[in-house]
Amino acid sequence: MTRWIRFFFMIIIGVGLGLLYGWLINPVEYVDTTPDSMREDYRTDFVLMVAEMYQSDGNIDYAVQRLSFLGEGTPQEKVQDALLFASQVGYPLADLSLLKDLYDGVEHWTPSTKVPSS
Amino acid sequence: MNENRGSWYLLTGIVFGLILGLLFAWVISPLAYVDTTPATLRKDYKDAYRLSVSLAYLATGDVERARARLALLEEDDSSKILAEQAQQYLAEGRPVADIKALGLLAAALRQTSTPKSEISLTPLSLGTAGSPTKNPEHTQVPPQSTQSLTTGVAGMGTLTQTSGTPPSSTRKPTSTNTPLPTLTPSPTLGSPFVLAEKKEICDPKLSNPLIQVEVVDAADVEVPGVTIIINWDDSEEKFFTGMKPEIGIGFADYAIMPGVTYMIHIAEGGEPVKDLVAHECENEQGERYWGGWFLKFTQP
Repeated sequence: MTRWIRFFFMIIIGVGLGLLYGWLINPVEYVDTTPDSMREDYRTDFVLMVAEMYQSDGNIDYAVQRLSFLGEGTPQEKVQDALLFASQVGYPLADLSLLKDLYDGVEHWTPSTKVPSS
Repeated sequence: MNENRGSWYLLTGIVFGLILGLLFAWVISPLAYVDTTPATLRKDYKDAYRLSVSLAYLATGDVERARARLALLEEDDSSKILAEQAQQYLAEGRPVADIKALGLLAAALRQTSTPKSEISLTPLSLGTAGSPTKNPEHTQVPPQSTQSLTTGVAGMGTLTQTSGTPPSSTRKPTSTNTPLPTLTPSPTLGSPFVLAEKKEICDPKLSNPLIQVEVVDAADVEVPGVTIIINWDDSEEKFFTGMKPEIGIGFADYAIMPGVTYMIHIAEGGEPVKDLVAHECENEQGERYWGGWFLKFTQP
């Protein structure tokens, strides 16, 4: 019976060593990630960048193309998520207004609309 | 159990434990990348991110916001990296607007360089433990009044914010910089640029002969983002000031081929400079090498 206790004790030590190695000695480093894994605040700021560009050039096709940087999901969803987040955390009204304008722009955009190649 | 089997069972236990740990880490609950930062993006995505920051800067002229966004990439010298990306895009024949945006932001960052210690990379506090949020400092503060914004997004209703009394979850600026006046992200409009100086240059350290151009305005301040058109034979190319901010934000250069005659002019207007040909130079040891030209344009 003592041997079984020791055996299971060693298993626990093994798991502990694995976690020690994985979490402290050689922890995971995030490299070469894709934009769809970015935290929501960073994604929101990216959408705000697109909104700033959209305000300047008024080109909704370019805006949609730029939003594709964030990965899967429709442009409407991306802008709506950003607008909701921005409003929740208290973005300035000027920024919210930009996001709102972009949302209005993408709301009526359809995938059949030609997207510029560059 | 036979007590004579030694202590190998202990090693078996450790190995079994490690296998269990790896099984959990790799199969049962494999690693998923979530809530990453721009600093961890793959290189091509970082390039695209930098370009977006530059284009947004071109749209708003807000250099401090652009600086804060670039700080999220956690790169040592954003200005230099932007300039290098601009040159790379130029070589790849990417859209001129993208190249200019990168070059202008590189120059603007160089002009308004801020000690690194003054910029915090910590995202904004959301007020909720464990879920911080970031954002570059905002630019506009509404007057002391209550303003409303109807969003039109399902579930959002009407936003109301009273300026001067920020809510408890208000974002805190990431940067402690004093906002600087908006930088106009385009060359000064005015009189056409005229050639103020033209001289041959002999520099043995240069591997290729260059046409070096410096563009300044009427106040002798270097102007970034000026498009320079160079022609030779039946060919034409463009290059821009500000791509090498380490030399000068109004500086640009172009490598030329010996034996070819070039002509350049400023795209925004101005007189062309013709008959630019690489010429021979001689160093102290009597060795010959190719030299180029230095041209300075100014506004009268």
